[in-house]
Amino acid sequence: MSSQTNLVNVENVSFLYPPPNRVWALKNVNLNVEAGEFVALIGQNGSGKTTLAKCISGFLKPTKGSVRVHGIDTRRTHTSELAKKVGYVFQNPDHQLFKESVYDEVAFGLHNIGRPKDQIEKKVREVLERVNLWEARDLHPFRLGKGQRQRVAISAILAMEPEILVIDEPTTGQDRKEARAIMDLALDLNRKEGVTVVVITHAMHLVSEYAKRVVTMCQGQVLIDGQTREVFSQIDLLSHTFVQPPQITVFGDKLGFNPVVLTIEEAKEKILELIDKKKGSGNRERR
Amino acid sequence: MIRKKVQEIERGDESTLKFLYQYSAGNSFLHRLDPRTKIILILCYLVVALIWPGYILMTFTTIFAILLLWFAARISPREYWQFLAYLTPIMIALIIIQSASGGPPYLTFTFPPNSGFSIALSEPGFFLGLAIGLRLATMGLAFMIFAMTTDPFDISLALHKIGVAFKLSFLVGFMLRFLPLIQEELFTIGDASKARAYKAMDSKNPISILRAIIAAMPPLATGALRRSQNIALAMELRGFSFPTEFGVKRTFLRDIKLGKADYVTMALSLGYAFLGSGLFFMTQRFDVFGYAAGLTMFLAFPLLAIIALFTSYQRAAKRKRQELQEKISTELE
Repeated sequence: MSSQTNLVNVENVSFLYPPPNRVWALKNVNLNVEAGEFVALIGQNGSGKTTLAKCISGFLKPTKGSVRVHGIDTRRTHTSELAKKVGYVFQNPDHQLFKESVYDEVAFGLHNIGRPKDQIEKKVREVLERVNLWEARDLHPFRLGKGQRQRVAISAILAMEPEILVIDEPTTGQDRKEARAIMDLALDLNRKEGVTVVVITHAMHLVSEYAKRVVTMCQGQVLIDGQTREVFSQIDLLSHTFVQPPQITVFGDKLGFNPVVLTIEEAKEKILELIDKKKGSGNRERR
Repeated sequence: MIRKKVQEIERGDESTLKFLYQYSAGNSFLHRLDPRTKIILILCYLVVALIWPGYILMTFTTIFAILLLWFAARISPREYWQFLAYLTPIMIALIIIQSASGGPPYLTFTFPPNSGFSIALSEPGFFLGLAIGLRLATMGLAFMIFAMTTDPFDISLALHKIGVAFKLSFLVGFMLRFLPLIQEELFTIGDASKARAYKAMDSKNPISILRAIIAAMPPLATGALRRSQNIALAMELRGFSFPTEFGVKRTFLRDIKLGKADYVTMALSLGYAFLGSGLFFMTQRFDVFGYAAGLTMFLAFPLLAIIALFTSYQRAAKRKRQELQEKISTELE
């Protein structure tokens, strides 16, 4: 029943890496993602974020339990078949780019799903213009900078119009502008086209700004799963997985704001309120 | 079923990253031997295996190689079953070709039964094919004995000690180390193409998998080039060519030394080679040359052994004398 309303259905999933690692990277993980959600996956290194993301996109098949996308068990389909529905952007763009030019890179997926030629050209142009890389279409991807490579990797997946977009650490090693451009793109896709987005990241300030829901992983298990504000208010619990909410949130918590604030704007308003209140009470005393 | 799979993974049966060259780390007798000793051991082993015809000895050498890996290196055939599995069809093909093309006497079969068609298979051809196949297996297993028990960088060190320039010997060791990396890169490209709905990598049809691998070759090559450039830079940053350019003597963290076990193994394998090939010449070739060659081989080994023992005794005596002199001189002081 539940599998019909949920787009992604992770049920009691455990995953054991084969030797030489032999680590249970996931232990009894349960997770449901509904269509149209913007989810951030956070947690310390080695907490199982990437393994979970790879299980969702079918690169890894769960050792125990099941992962369903649209009610289809990932173990019963090929990864390449699932790729039409779930787009997975690798942690390292260099692992994803293998064609001779940016244009070929983006067109590759479209050729594979059998789009006619004129449509491919149109789509590639549309996608590359969206990420500001149409000018660089004839260059070898490795001639580009890291931020641009990351955008090529995302646009190559984007071109296939997946319903779910899983992005693994898109902001690592990027400057503020590039990181924001990527997150803005993800948000845009989520709002305008209804694409479900799952982002793995360590940048908490971006999480608090963009994500509606946060799933915190710790040692292969889900530690906290909930609305961003709800999750970031549990500062002590988060420290178990070495996650610290944005500084402004911690600062607000110290000031006793409840619920916690997520952005500087929110904090500003609350602080002004507080000052007003103090002033007001001070005036009353004086009178 | 799940439990079975988990057990399989825990036992290490799911060999995802096995390729041509796979060093299997351990601390067994064979692992501890010097690479130079192992080269001699394998050469001697192969000399006898290649010089003697017939499938009976070949069967023994094949089985002995497996037993050697099992007991002297603690590597069970489970770790390299893929190698044996690839070998089997080649052996079968050799047997079929040889028995179809060999001379008399023939064994005739009617096949299909009662159809009047008859197939004549050569009996000596069958055994010749079997012998060739087993010889191939022996050679392959001899390589496995060396490859699975020797760290690639020890090979380069051994080459360097024999007299190869360090750059070249390092290259050899590094090349062997690089093969699994390239394989990993291939898997990465496979995943990247699967992420873009490329079906050939997922298919079970060997031809389409082969096509996918061929398609992955250009990016694999560029990837390997990029990676090797980065590694070269990283090595240079840690002063790889400093010793050659500034004439400093290179020191080594790991050293390989010939120990007692090495000398004994070398002597035993040389003895095996000399006696084995000498026996062949003595018994299989009934002419003057055969006897002469056999006799020399037979006599050469004890002679060499005596010389080796004598020189080692002399060396030991010399060392003792020196020690004594040093002791006396220090006492006098």
